[in-house]
Amino acid sequence: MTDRSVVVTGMGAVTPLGPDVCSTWAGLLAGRSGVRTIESFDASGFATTFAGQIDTLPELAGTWAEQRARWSAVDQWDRKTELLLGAAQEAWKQAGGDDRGASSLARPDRIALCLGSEGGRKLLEEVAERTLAFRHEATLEPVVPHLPIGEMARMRPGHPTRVLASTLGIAGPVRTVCTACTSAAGAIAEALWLVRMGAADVAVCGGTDTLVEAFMVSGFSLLGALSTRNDDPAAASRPFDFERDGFVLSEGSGVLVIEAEDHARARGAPILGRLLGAGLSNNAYRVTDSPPDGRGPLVCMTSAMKDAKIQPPDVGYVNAHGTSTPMNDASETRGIRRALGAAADSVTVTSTKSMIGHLVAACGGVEAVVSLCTLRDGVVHATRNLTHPDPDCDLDYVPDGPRTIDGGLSIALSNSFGFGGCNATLAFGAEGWR
Amino acid sequence: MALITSVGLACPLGLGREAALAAWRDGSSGLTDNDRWPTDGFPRADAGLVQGFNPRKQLPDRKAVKLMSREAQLGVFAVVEAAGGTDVCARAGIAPERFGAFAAAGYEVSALRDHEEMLAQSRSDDDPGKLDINRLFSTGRDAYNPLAPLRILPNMALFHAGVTLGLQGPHLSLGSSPAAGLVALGEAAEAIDGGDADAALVLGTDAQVEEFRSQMLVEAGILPTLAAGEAGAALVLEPDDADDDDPVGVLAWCAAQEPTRTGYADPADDGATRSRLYGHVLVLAGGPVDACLGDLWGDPARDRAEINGLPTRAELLASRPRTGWLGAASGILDAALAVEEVKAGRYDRVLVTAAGIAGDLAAVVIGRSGATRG
Repeated sequence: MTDRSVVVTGMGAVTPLGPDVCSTWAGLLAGRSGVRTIESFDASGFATTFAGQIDTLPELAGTWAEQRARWSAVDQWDRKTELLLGAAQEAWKQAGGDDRGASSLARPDRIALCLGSEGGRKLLEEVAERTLAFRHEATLEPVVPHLPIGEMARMRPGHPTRVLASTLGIAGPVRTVCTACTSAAGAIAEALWLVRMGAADVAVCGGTDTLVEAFMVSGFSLLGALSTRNDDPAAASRPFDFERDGFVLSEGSGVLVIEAEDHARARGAPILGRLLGAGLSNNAYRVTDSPPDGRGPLVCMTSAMKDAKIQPPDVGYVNAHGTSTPMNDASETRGIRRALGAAADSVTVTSTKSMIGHLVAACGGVEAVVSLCTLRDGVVHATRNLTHPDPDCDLDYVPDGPRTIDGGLSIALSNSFGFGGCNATLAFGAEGWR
Repeated sequence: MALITSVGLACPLGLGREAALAAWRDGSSGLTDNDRWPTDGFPRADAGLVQGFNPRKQLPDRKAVKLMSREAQLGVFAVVEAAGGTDVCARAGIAPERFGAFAAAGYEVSALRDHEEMLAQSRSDDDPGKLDINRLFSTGRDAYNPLAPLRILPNMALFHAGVTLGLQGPHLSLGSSPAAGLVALGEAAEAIDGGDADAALVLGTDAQVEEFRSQMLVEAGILPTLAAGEAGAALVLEPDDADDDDPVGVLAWCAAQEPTRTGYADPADDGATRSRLYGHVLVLAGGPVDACLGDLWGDPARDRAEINGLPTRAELLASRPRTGWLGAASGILDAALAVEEVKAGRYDRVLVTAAGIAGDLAAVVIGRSGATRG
């Protein structure tokens, strides 16, 4: 086993703030919200009528556009795959990859692919049609019809992974991480360890998800998990605010290209930052609730710092999971305090979800990109809508607008916590960190 | 080397480790008549069912059963058996945050059943065959099962396993491919060997015997070659200083992607990628194997690529024709059977392989302690 240092050489993002990293980061620094009333279906009768929504899709070109045509022809193209390929195209090109695919960066069997993705987010209308079609209307007995060609493929969590592997001709280790809101961060952690131990020289990693459809909005709404601030959608996601009332569903994708530093330097790749370490943990508590003592976040943050060989005072920024649910934000605050100790008083903590909502399986990918932009520019974006501080949330959440950090930032942690009690923390370093 | 110190099984071969391994040894088939739904006109009338499983009586927390999908129920049975009860951390003297959990789990689509009444209540007045989605929050709301969205999350099986055993260490749930189970096993071994955990649970669980899923298997070309099946399989891994008088463990593992594969029956697949992967894992394991528990279906045309990839001098074993298609559970079930083969003294080292529909491949070598691991 080797212990190679791992750097980031490509970043891509498609979010409600824009179809690429540049527009997303600019939107975050401007404090814009990508949350608005749902337009893709009539949600007027729902308890929650808004979501984070992408209105400008990235333009796929060359082999990326060819892949869309190829998979569409067999009914295996869907929105989350489109978002993924948009983000991956941006990251791949920034890393120096081209239309030759894997071989333009490394030997195909030396490139890994690790993605966070959940099962197919089906349109409720499709679910209804399928269910009604599957049962005789009068007897409710199965009638066993033929399904659309692509139905099974699109339902599988690994389908976007398969499409991207095929697009790039990746022949190394490939896996799909399915840990709800932790999926993308868990996938990036997997990729880190594969590159570090020498199983791959390059890894494409991140996540994709689309939650803005009736089945998901109705389901999470009836669970009581969503904000119902229908009169002011842009103010609905308010992490760490006393008046927060739930999270905001959203959609998007975030992708990194990471590689062994020696490999990246040998081919003259841009070094955008360092992926120093990762930690995973489990709450073993309740399915949707966070433990009030913050023990799950404590374990994964501590593990990530140990894996990254850093100490709490090294950490200048935490990109919080920050969902805007009453339980998560207080539990995460407690976890950060316990993990960082006295250093928690001087760290900046912000929630990207305050502006783009919750991308669930993709959030860790986008927030990894945001963490790297933060280190690159030495600027922390604000936590939007934090106007009534919660006494149980007592960290520096940067509520008043973006903040330039004197002397820049060296280390950022990015937290992701998921339904089912799974937790992941990624530790990033600035390019110059040793 | 990470040792596999315990096994738990709920599979078509039997409910419980002893029953399942006895059936494996005597060559029994786990396929029986499928009584879950009328199979008239369906390509197969049999299925790999777990017989005698009553979750409300056989799982430790009856109240939690209603939160669980079928694969979660099977998975919890298997992990409790593998762990020897729910208090494994205390008995083993391992801190909960040092006990990891890694899983491959199927995705829940049978939750469609949960929605039938709600959908029936939400039909359009103008066209009863169509849905009026805004009725969800009027007439349909009372019929909505709010637990349904939780059951479709692929990581729920591992959640229930983790809560049942109180595990708080490194935690990873991988997608629904058969290969994912072997990757989960490899990741667990890495966690043990790398010092990230003092013990790790590995779970593979899936439940494909449901009419909607089975129809998907038809569309994917899996049925009728294989029957649909269901299983939960679990292993406990510990460092090789564990107190085990017959140590068997993970000698090596590796994963790869066949980038051009378009399905299970790709006629262009000559097994070259598999051959490279399996050859590489044998190098990592430090030598050849005696037997292979391969991704074999009992269909010569379909098995050609796998047979071409497997080492020629090893004996070939296959569970799938006797259990049916087990999806994410198949890799861990085969790993458990390989442990049994080695512990029984029939083979010293067994290569276990699995392939996913998306072209993902994984291979693990299981054998006695003492061989060098790559």
